[in-house]
Amino acid sequence: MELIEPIYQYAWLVPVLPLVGAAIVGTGLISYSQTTSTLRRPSAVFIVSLTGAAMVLSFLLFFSQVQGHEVYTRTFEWASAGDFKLTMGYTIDHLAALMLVIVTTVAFLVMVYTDGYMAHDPGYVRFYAYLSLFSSSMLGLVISPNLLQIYVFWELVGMCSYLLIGFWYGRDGAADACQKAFITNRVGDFGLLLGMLALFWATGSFEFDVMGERLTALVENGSLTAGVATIFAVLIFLGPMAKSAQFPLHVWLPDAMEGPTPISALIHAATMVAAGIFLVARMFPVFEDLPTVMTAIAWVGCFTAFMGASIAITQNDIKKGLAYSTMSQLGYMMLAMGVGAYGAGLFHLMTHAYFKAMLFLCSGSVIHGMEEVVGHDPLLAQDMRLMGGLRKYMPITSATFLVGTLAICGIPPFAGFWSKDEILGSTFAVSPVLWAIGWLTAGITAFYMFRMYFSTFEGEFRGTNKEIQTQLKREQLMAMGASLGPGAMNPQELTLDAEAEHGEDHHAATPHESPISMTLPLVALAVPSVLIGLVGTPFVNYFEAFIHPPSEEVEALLPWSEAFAEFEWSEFILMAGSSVGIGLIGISLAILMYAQKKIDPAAIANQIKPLYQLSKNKWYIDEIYDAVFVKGCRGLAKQTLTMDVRIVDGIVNLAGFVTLVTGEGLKYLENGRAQFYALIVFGAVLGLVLVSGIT
Amino acid sequence: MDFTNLASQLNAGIILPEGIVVATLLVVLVGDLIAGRASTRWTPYATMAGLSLAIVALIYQWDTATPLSFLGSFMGDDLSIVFRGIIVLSAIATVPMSIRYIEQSGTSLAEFLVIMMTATLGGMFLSGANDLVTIFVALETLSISSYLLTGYMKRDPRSNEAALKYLLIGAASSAIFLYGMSLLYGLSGGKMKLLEISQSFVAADSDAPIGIIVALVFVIAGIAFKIAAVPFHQWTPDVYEGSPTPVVAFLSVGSKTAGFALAIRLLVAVFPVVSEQWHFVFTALAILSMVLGNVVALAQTSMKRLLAYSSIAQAGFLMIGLVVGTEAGYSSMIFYLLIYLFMNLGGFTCVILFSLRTGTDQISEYSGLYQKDPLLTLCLSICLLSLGGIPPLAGFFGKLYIFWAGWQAGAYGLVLVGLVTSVISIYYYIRVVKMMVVKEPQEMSDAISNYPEVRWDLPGLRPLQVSLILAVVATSLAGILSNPLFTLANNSVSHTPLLQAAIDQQQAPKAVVPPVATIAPAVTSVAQR
Amino acid sequence: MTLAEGVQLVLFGLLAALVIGTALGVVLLSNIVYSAFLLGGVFLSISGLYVLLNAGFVAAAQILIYVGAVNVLILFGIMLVNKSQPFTPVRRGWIRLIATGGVCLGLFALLSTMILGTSWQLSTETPVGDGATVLIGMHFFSDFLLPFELASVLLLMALVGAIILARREFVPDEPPTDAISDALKLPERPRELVPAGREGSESPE
Repeated sequence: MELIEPIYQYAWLVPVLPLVGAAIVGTGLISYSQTTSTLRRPSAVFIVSLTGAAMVLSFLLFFSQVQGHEVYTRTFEWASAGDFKLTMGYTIDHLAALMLVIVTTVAFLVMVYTDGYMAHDPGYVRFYAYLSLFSSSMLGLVISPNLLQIYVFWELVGMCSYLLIGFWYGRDGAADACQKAFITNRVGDFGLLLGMLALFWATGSFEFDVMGERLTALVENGSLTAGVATIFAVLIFLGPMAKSAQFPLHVWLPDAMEGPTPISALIHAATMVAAGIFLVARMFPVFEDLPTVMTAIAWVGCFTAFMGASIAITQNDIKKGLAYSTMSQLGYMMLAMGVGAYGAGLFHLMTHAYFKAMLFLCSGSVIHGMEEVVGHDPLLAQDMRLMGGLRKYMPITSATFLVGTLAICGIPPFAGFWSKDEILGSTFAVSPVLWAIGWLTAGITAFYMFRMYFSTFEGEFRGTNKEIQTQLKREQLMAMGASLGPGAMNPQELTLDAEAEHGEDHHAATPHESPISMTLPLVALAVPSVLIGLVGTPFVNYFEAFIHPPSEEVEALLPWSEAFAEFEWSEFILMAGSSVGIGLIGISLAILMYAQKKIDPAAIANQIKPLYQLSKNKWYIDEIYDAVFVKGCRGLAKQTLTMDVRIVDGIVNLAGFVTLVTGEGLKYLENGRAQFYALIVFGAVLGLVLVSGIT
Repeated sequence: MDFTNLASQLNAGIILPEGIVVATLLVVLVGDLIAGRASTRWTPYATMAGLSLAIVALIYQWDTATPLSFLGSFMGDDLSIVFRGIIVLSAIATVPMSIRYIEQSGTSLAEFLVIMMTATLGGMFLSGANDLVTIFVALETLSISSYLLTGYMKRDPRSNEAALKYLLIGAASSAIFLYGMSLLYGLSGGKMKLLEISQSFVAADSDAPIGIIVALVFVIAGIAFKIAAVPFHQWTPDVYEGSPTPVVAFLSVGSKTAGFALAIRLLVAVFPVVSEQWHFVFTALAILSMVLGNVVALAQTSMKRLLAYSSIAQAGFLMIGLVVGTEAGYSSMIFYLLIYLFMNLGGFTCVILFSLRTGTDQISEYSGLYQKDPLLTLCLSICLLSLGGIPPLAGFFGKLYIFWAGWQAGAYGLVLVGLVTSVISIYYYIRVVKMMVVKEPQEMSDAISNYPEVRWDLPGLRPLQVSLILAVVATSLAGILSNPLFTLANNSVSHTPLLQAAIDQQQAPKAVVPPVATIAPAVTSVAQR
Repeated sequence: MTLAEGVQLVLFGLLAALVIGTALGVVLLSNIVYSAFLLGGVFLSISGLYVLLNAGFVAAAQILIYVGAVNVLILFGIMLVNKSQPFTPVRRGWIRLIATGGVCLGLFALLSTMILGTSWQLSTETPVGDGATVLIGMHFFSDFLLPFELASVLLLMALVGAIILARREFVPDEPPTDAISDALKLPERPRELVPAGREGSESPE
């Protein structure tokens, strides 16, 4: 074991290594912008190798945890004043080790992929610096031993995400999207901070297990009512709700897809959005004794899963579709947490991290290929109506995409099957209603994923079809025009044609397969997408034995042969069969509608017009928020904002203070502001005496 | 009373730091008279050296055995040392900002430095003043120098306007303050020393008579003017916008710190009889400041006005610590002041640098700055984010400590208001950051597209750069390595007999034991079972 | 100075009436020169009150400083500006008058109740009378030494400040040498007078 100890002592290097990379490249960018920007490859290699080193270290830690090394925690008193103490440090336990491996592998592969994807982007080096900074913050979050430190890194990953969504600030909507993400996350973080302070006040600790223990004790001996404890927990839960894009704070995630695709894969599919699930897992000792909170978490998760899936059916933008699918899958994880299936939720987190990262990278590869044909216009390059038949041109991408699709649909033996099945099984034991919704969602998932697959990779290639292109542009303009109102000018017709003419000369007619630096990560991610599920089979659940709630004891695993003998096959077949069954139904529907064109989707859409519109318009959530919050806030702000200045100005003008003025110096005096201020001072004195005298 | 006897009674060594500042002031003034315009080369550095020497002297006086000096006029306890230190530090930081600024505006530098040192001196004496006369003279030294600094750019009508407004409102509030002090003198039967006054109040033992309340509110009006608390804040935006920016930087930190020092000493020492009332008044001021400051800041288009409202709001946060009145409350307030010093001065340095290069301070003109000057963008972003309280920057820990102290003491309402408004505040800080970073090249403002080549070799820019980097490093590291600052803040409170007495007194009658203390034994017993 | 009780009362009444009358005149008269002269009257009557209180030194200081310096300065200021400008009758000016009047009356009522409702701790010592000058000097050099010395710094600085404000503009002879300072004559451009709240030109509505 002598070899192992130093690894633990230097475990802090895992987040620090990427940070060093980000710091060095960042400093270079700021001080010697020109030089650093030209050193593209060296910077990239430097950062990627640092991340690789962190990955190796993570794997070492992980293996030592698997072999039964006890939990290693190192803390030091970071700041203390009186009885206000903050401790910082790091803790390596099973959960942390697992998350380290997930984050570092995905980050590493995404970084390799980025080299190909961003090859022509002027912000190449800056992008790597951000990526590295993000990885560092995320790794720091994962190994945090207490809630406060989590909060610090929580904000950091939020900031990175904010920076990265707005990376292509040139694009329409990128700036708006990052603002939206920011504000939505503020709401959640505010709740989190409030809940954190409240829990600290009640329990006097930021440590997870201590918190849970004391809170339970407090509720038991009656010094804190269960209602108050529930409020605290719900406040905490607001944080994960925003970060993991759960209803009603989910609105930012689809818009966040304005960022470059590697970001979508790393941050908005695999790691950061999973931070919410991770936090719930960490806070499990607090949540598990509060049944109301658990139920709330389960319902929020379930509803999000269903809503995400139902919206994903009608999306035409490939990344938006995947985004809603991510939201839906995160809902599954939340559902698992809510019904107490701790291991299942995290298992799904792991499998999802791999296959969803892969799906996103595939979509990036597709977009990369499409840009050859339709130009660098996200509106065209990301729209599935222009794709089709890409399997011929991009064999590796399509194969890996198919693997990911099968995984997410829950077809055995792909990874998603095992995790999703476990979640559904655990849900059934708690609430059949939740199970039914989850089960239905699984069907919808299969349908929209195959819809996506077929319209992207099968059939005819439609990328050169000018008609669709023009139609798409017109649609977008109409959407914009509608918000502009009827009085707006309409010069778009002109530009449309002009651009179409212009676009013809230098684009290729067919897309091409992406370079090896992009396909290699795809293939690398396909392996876990297929195989990783096998560690969590219901017969011999290695995963469950490794990851379980702190309060729970798990009996020793049986060898395979015995496990097979003792396993209750009937129940498993019933549950698994039903979920595979609905998945297959979804797939066949998709085949009928999009591959063989036996059923016309448009006809169905027309028949259930209201439902179709509901899905297409994302349940009108954005519109509702716009009407209720944005407009409301704006109105309120406008009134309050002007209070200080306007009232003074207003009264001054009202009373006609502005006399004729000539002398520059006297001008400002004679408008009466100064007198008015003095009057306010005296009035305030009077008021304060009266008020404080009376009370 | 012979001379040596008197000299030993005076214990004049306590005001050694102030003595050093006076000596520096004289050196600069006389040196400038002799050397003429050539003196600009060394006066700022002499000023910084003198002020740094004063800091060293302050450090040596930490935990002095005999803090009382000048027959009770001045109290050099640890509390005053921390406040004096902050004021001197803010003055040191202001000097490098002003060199280039003053040069470009074509006014003379030495006088500027002299007046600023006088203001510093006033603030320092105010932090330790222990009788009514010293308080008033120190306050006026600070105020009058501030008026002069505000109007220093006399060719700029906005500077004139600002000075005139500041002077008029300041004179009004000083008059109110003085009236309050005269009431204190009369009510206590002719006492001058703070503790004697409060003793005579306690001896009279009347249950919060109206006289004391009137005196209290009048005194608070003077203090609230200095710390720019709503509704005594009206001057702030106008003055901040019109004055030379280095002056604003000093006003927002140095002058405000002096106000808080005065508030703690005067209220805690003199008004224990009406402590309920003054806590009530400050709660009202704190809530008003946080809400109005943060909300109105949203609407600002000028960076300086934005920072003005932000400083009003920050004063509101600071007042939470004062209202809470526990040991943690006071130390959280001092800790936040220390951090506020770095982040606010860093922010102002950036604003000055930007206005030196572009000649504007409109927020919209900041758009796209990232492409032209990444360093400035980074520094300003860090300072603003820290002001907004984004972890892991220093501001977050300051806010956390204050809110924690408030929550611990049961001031839930205040803490909630603080949390909500700090969320609002993040929005307007971020708006500036977004404006600088996330803007496409064609959306660049005029000022940015004509942005001059970044040069640091112009006279006066090098010190500016150094101080900027120092402030930013302090802002980013003070959060991560905050323990020394925590210890400093805590010690300054726990080593000050005045505050200890007040804390004991406050806790004795209330006897509200925080839930942690009551449940901790229960929890351990549960855990043992 | 000892006066009969009755004489004291009459004198106090007279002086009080003078103070109030002249002070009202300062505030209410629209001609600024009258106001300034009446202000001198206020100061003089107050010094009379000091004399009645046996505070000869303060009375003398009051006349020297307020009448001799402050009031004369104000008159100088008015004469130098020499701009007789009638205030245009303002629309709805009564709002302002009512607000001001209300606040003033409120403060007056508050202070009167406070003064009448407080049991003042009156000093039992006999007044020192003309010995006050010596006593004040003693205080200056013992327990008020610090504020007294601080005041000297304050005065020095006020002197410097006054000179800065009053001296002739210093214009540098040679043009600035560095390239960019040409555009930066004023540290900031005059602000455009935009109403607060008008922002967001960057966000398309």
